[in-house]
Amino acid sequence: MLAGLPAHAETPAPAVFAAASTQLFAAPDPDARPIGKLLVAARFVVLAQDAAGWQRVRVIGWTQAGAERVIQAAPGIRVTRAALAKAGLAALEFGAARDDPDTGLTWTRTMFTGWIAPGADIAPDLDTLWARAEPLFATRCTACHDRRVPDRYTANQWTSHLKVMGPRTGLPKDDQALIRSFLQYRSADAAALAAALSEE
Amino acid sequence: MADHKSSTISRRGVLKGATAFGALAAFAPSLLRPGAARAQAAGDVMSGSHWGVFRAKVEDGAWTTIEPWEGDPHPSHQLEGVMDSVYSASRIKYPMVRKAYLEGGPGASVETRGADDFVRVSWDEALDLVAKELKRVSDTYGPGGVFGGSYGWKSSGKLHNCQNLLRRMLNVGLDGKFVNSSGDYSTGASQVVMPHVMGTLEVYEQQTVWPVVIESTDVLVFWGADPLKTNQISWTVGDHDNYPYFEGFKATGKKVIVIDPVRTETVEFFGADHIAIRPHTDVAMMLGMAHALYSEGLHDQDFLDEYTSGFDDFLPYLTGESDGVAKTPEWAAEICEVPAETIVELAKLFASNRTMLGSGWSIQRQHHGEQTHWMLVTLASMLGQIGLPGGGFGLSYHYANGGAPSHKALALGAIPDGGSAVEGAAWMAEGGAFSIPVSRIVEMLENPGGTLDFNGTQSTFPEVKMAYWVGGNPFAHHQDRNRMIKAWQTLETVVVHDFQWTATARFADIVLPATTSYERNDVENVGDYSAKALLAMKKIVDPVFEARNDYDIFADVADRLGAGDAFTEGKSEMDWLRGFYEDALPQAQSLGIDVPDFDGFWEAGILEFELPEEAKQFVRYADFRGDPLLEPLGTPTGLIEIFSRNIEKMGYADCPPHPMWIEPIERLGGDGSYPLHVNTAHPPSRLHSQLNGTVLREGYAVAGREPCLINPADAEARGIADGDVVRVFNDRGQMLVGAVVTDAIRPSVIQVCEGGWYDPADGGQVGALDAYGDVNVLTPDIATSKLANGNSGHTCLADVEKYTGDLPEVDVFTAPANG
Repeated sequence: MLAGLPAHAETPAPAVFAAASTQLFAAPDPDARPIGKLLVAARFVVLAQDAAGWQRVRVIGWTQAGAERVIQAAPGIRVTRAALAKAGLAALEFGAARDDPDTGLTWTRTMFTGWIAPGADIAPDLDTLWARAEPLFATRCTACHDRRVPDRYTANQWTSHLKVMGPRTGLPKDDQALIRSFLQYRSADAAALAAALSEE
Repeated sequence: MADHKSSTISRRGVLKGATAFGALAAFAPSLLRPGAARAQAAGDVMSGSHWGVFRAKVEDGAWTTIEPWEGDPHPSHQLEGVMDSVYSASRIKYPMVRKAYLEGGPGASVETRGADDFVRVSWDEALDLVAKELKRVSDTYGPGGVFGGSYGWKSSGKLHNCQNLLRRMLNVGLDGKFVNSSGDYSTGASQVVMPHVMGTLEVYEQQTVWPVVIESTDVLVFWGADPLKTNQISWTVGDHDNYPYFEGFKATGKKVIVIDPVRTETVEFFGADHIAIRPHTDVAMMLGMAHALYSEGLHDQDFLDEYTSGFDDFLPYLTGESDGVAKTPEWAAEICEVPAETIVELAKLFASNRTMLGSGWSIQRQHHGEQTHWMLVTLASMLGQIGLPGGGFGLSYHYANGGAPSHKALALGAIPDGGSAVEGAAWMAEGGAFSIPVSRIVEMLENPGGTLDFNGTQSTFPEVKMAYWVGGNPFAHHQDRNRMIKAWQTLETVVVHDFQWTATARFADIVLPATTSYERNDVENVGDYSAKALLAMKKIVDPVFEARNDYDIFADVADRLGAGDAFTEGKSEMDWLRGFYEDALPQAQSLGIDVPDFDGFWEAGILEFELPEEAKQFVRYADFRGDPLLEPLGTPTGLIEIFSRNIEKMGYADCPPHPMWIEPIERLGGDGSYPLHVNTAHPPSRLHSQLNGTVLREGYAVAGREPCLINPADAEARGIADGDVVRVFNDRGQMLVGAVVTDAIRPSVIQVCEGGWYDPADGGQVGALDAYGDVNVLTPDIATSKLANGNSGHTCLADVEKYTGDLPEVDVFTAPANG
């Protein structure tokens, strides 16, 4: 049961953020297949690091019943932190559930624990990522249409828009994801996302 | 009815018609460019336009012939007009200032705008005026003072995107303090409602591709769309890739149904079943079909359960349980004039066949336009074929060749709008509406400080005192012309760049002559959806008279605002183009394609891309259908929202939380005191108002005016014969057009295509008789609803009479005196 920090004594680790799409593993084993991935801008904590540089990480978020493979930043706000293969389900622990009367959906607090390989691109804070994202948005997202106002759409809508618009920029996938995250954190859901970050 | 021209365009096209320089002036170079140096003297040049890629022949520095590119599968007949646009009598030659403005300053005699009294000035004088005014208005009125949301179809090209360039100048030169606009006049309602219903923009996204439709669709429906006509043009450079697929579908012999008040080119081409619905009643017809499906148990309950949310909240409305009115086929028939049996028949046909519901945008360009595509999606959900090959719905088959499979292409950047400098600027937090839904511009001018309700937000209209318009013609695309003329008088200064004397230019204070695409270099992709090639848009001739590139004009204005270097970054035209291309080169590696370097590309002139096999198999929403939990839609539920809680929370009376039939302010068979519906479809031989000022007009003008389709019964009742000049009128305005009596249009409906140039007999006077046929003289300026604030150009009743008064001259196609 997820009650807070793990039982054995560890100093609370600061949250960090994935700066690129990063594979997740069940163990610090370079020959193993990944069991999922951290998405760009995913918030996570580093619990430990081994001699080879593998890091044990924890991702906390919310999952929808039947879609436990996708860990979202807040209930109903599909800013995805981690996406898991079926094999990744074993690494999940579940906590309190929250009903959303507007959608009839139930969201469950979910924790994933696993490993990332050495050399992962990690940012100490989101502002580091936004500094990279902002010029991309400013230059690449006005080639074919007018500059968009981020808070005119919800975070979920930005996901769908970027599915189509991202490839039209010709940018590498991680850059497209960076723009998507940048827009989501400035979307109509910005306050809810900021609150979700400060709750943790 | 349709104006078909073959693709062989000859020298005759150059000789015909009134050019500014006389019939043979194309061969008398000395008249063309006083004082300017020549471009290449002779040769073949390839370039492109919204109408497609073409080859130009230059002789003695003049452009003499235009031929379509051999790689174009279906060239547009409009190329003749593309060439003529450089030399026609409508060309703006010099910087001009309205005389009263020059003498009296900003805000002087604003009621005389439109009277065509202009004085020629030097470029320096003009630019000094513009920069001075930008500073004055900005200092006096703050960030709400300058309107820079200039909207329109401009010209193709990544560098000479005059609207980006305008906003770039305003961002670097005025610290981004200007009022911008959002949305467009094409999909104003749908692009705001679809994100709530499907979680995405929908309207500009790739469709289930045509190879799949040809293979799998059994019944192809075009609801309020004429794709044979509208696929001539593209936002980038026209590819026309859909046309061979239209042939392909036709060859299958499978059923095509067109729902349209007019028997269009699309009907004729496919030999389609034509349903001449009463205009403005599409939602009612769809509800009737939905009721038929539900009452016969033909709806796909499994699909509704798995993939949608809120059907159970919509059902009581459909059955009449909630409001006492069952939306039966009989109920619908009375509203839409399509027999109940036909409505039932169609419902059954769609339910028992793989059906693709293609829909155009006319039906959402109406009062309560948000309801139409929302109801179409609801109907498609009940049919349960969304995400299946060849099934579901598609909102872009008629636009820019949507559904043409996408090639594996380099994606070029374009000149940025310079906005990175102003991210998070303090004034943005002031709460003013510094970006308005584009079609609320007149309301904004009439109502500074007034409340704007938009998509769940509320803000205040700014007080705009200056408008800078480039690449667009609001005095063509905006509704209720007379109301607009009055509102425009609140502006102290209006600056316009254009290359032709459009009505917008005539209502300006400062008019700056811009170059056409054909007098400058640029680069663009071919095919909005197909992305089949990259085109070097090579300069064909030198700028005529004193025309300058928008880029150079804005660089000079920015310079006067102290930001010249920020604007140009020290780059020349070719530096920018090289930069766009070289920045995109790394994509080639990840795409696994071989491409030349920039010089190789420019030399070759065009770089064509391969079409991967998997692109020919794309099915829209197949991923969502395959796994709705892991591929959710961008809606709160992750599903198709037939009922939207977000919209419910907004509490808008004119946009309820599920699709509904809502009576508009006026319609045939409903409210309104005029007997005929005015259909304002896109024209067959223009791009909106572009190319009206060219030789193409001779192919369609009737008695020198915009044609008006009228049914024989309506014509006879009014004593109107084919070719007569008629006056079309309602309480909002009046215009003269030329009658085309034809049974291609159903009774009680007339058609005058949008984009005709406003030509008032008394320029500038509110209520003046328009001599040519700008149909927006008749249409209402009313927002679709508070949700989207889209425009309602297809909501219009009027009457027609044979005109027996003195016929005013049509003189809007020649430059004003002194010009």
